[in-house]
Amino acid sequence: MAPITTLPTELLLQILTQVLSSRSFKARDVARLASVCRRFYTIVVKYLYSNCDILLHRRGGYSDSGHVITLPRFSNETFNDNLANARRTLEAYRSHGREVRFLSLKTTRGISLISTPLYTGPLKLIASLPTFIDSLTPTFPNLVSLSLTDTLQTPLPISTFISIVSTILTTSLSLKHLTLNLSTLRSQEKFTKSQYLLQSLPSAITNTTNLARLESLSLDIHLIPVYPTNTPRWNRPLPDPTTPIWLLSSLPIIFPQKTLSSTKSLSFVVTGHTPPTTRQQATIAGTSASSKMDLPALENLVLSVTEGCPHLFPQYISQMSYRSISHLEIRDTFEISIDITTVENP
Amino acid sequence: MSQITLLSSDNVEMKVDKEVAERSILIKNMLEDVGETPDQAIPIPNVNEGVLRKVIEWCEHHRNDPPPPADEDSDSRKKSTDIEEWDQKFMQVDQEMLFEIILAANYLDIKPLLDVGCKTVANMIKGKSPEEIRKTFNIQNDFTPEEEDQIRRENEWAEDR
Repeated sequence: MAPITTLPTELLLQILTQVLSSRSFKARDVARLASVCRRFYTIVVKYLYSNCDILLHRRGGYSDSGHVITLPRFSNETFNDNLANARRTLEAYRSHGREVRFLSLKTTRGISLISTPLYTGPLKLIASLPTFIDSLTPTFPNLVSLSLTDTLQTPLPISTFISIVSTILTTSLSLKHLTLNLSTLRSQEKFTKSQYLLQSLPSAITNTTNLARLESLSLDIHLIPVYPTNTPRWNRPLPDPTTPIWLLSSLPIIFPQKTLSSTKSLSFVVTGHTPPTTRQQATIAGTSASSKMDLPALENLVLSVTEGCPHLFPQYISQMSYRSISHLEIRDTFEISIDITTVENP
Repeated sequence: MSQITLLSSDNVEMKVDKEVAERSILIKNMLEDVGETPDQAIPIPNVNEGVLRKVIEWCEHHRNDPPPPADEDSDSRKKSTDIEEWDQKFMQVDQEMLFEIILAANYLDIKPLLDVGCKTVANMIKGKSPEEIRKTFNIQNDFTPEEEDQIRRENEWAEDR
């Protein structure tokens, strides 16, 4: 028997990783390596498809015109190669969907800026981010980690944001780690109106039986104010400071209890808003005990929100959630009041 | 310099400087657990005399190497298959021995040696056609013609460059 095939998979993977990740390795060498024997094939497939990194290049001005996608995989590919192969590469990921463990979606700058010579071939286009995610996640049944990063800070309507989250949670049941780094529109609506908006959302999860159970959840949300278009800049009202609180109070609705029951790590970072001038502004009425989030497995908590949000945090997270916290990090906040006496092991 | 004794799988005892043996994280941890230099030979049940001598030779040469950088998955380490000259010569052995060394380095937890071993094999694979790779490593082609076709189709995305 060939000695090389007697090596355990982890060592053969290490060897083939050396080959696949070397600078001289060309994409076309993949088929060569995979067609040596069944053992090689299995390992090459594992290497090639465990990570799916998708870049979304914004077309034109804002998100309405959709995105062109690329899936860069080899360091020696040109950007035009990536554009030309996006469709087939995506199909290859779909057909090996069982191998995909890590999915990363990242928006980046428009393509016309960086393509020289200008690419003229067909493009792989996607019109809407939620629809695209919806078409991807069911084909990746063993997905463990999903990260969605909008480096362009394209403002998403809050309903789109919620629709993305519910799509992920209901279609990717094996998911353990979710990272969302997005911008969402903050409206001028008052809290009660926002709450009403949330309740009326058709996309809020209704089926609570099949959901991903997250071990870690990281939300880094940048809020962008929306002003009535006819208001001159100098005459605009101050943004409503309760929006991040509203976001916080909606977490139990956006992320159902079942999804967070085994969550060990929660990071909640909200930026892009002005601090309240008075304490009253940071206090909102209409919150009930039933809207509190239970995080019985929570060990790590990172909070970074101004506007009195940390002050109010205990209102939305149940007491029992603090019991097993071993790491607490509060960033950039001017006020915090978590009753330490309720924490048994500070 | 304190010495310890290693016992190979085929019951051959070898004396080595403690410092050299501690290139193996497995042995290092074992010695730390025991607390003092043991009088008895330490059995290495998975490694025979020939391979163990080879591994010790490598550890002797690299006894003063600085510890590897903490960032284990740094890109530079992964992507470069450069091997220093002494290691290249050291790895000029028959395939059976080469894979034995890799297995021993893995078992004894000597990462830099495992790395050199994997890189050596990787360099033997690079730039070769499937048939050449099979010939080099005496691998049986266990695909049916239909499966070979299938693989080619699967990888069409990479073909026309």
